[in-house]
Amino acid sequence: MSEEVIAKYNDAIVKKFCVMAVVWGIVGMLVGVLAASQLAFPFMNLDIPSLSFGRIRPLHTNAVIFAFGGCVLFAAIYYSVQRTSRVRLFSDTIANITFWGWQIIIVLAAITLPLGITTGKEYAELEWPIDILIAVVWVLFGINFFATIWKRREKHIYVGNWFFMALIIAITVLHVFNSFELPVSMFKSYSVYAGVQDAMVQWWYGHNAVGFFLTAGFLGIMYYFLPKQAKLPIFSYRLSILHFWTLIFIYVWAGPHHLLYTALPDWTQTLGMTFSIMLIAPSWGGMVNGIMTLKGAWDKLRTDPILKFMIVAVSFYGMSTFEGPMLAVRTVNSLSHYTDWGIGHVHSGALGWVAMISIGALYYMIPRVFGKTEMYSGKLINTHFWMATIGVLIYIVAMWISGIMQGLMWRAVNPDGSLTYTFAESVAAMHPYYVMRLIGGLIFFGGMLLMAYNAVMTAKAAERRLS
Amino acid sequence: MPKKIGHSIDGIEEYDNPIPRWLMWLLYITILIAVVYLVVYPGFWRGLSGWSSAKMYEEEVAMADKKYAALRPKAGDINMLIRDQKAISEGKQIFAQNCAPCHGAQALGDTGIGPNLTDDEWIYGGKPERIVKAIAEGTANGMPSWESQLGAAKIAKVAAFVHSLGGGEQ
Repeated sequence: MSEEVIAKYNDAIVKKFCVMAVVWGIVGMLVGVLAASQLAFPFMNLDIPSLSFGRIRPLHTNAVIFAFGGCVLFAAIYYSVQRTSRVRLFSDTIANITFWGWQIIIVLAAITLPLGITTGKEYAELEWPIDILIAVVWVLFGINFFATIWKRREKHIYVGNWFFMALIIAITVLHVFNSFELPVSMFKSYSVYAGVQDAMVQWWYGHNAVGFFLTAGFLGIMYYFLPKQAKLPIFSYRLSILHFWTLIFIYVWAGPHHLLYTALPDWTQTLGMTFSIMLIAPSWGGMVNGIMTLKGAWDKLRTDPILKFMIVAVSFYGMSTFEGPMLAVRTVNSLSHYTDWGIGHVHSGALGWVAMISIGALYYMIPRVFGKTEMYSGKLINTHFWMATIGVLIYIVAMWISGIMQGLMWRAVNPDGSLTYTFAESVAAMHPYYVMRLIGGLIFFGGMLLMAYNAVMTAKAAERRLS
Repeated sequence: MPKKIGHSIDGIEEYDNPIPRWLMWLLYITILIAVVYLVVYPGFWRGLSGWSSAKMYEEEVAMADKKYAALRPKAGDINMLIRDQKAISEGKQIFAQNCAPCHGAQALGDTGIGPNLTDDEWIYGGKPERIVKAIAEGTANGMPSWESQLGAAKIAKVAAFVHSLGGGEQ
């Protein structure tokens, strides 16, 4: 069968992206662990400017979102679109250009960010030459994807592919419009938007990078890999239609909830908040469709660690998509904004949902693209699962406690109206939770090392069999 | 068993199950909450409540002014404040928030910017009024004026605290 598959589908490109996903996952999370250690123990910046928190933090976010998450998306999309369309990719050449282009972008990010070359826009820090490169690679990826869908031999376009289409279209629009900037030199540009309009465009982008890159894209992954791994039909076709359209319609309006109690006009803030509340049910549609697919087959969870990753991912997705709208409510936000609660929320989404579903999909794809049926060790997958789950729980709990504590300390006042705590006192109070977060992150990171070992051993076993 | 949609894509089938009732209700209820909120608060129009963040700020400031006005010592009370432990401890907080970056958390002058305030040496005089003046107006050595930032009442408290540190003159 393997020879037939090789001729039919381009799995070489999937293999490349899978390998780099594991590599960038480890790199990105290692940088995250370094950043976490600096918050707990400031000497960890080693007095090297390029390793200081302000430089390392955007490197971490870019590496985990766009390098790790991006490679997972490319791998999973190239893998599933061929199978759900029953045709080979439209162009192997374009696929290779997207691979090398994306890797070059990542390397450029890894060089420029530690040097302090940045636009200063969160999740869009890369300077204008790299922005242009991203746009070119992304549009080529879109062409390859849509052309593959166009020449499909399957009448119906599978639900997973709807989400990938939304991902590709939305990210193109978001990236291009948020990156309009005036270059003043090779390494410096200024946004064409000014003041609060710049902030609004930035969070329209930032929020929907989460909504379309980290949500729609990975829901597409869930829709393909969960039923494949469970060998069960999707719970409800109707639900997938409804939650897809409501999700993509409502998500794009919710960005202003990042700017509550700022110079943004009140009416815009209110719209952002109300659309966030309306986002709960559409988000949960994905969770319900994932979890209900396993209805009546829960015993599979006892024996299949890959399925465990997927179902825990979907559960974390449900939890953080409830927490998000709550944090978007004005009164809650006045306590939570600028505290570690936000960091905890992001990581329950990023580690609990995105990383877990990615890891599940990678464990599904890696043996198959190496011509095997299973990973080298199921036991190691199971260990990885528990390390990831425990790591993310420690992380989130630490950030919940420290975030709420921070919020309460900042607003506490003495009977005479003066502040009870200095800022430095609130920082000192966070120390134990920063250590706890570091431990949680280290455990999660350790799991990724197990994955790398497991992948290398799988590849080696495949090589041996071929020779 | 529920009906399946009549297609199988790469072996994946899909049931035609109805959407769970509770999920539809959740959708309707959240839409209703949003609509009610948009009627009451500014969004598509000014809102029934007339609320605005600027108005909320003004109201809170007015409330605080009323509540705390009686508690605020007059600037001239400095000679009483230096004997008032509560004022001194409040002054310590104000010091930590505003003065510590230059004078050090323990006021030891260990940052290399502002001088040590815990010894018995007073560059600009150790009398309470002199300390108040130095804080309010700033000094020739580069200390900025804190008049506009802290106000007379807070300056009096932090002066009482600083006075207590170095065994100030009466």
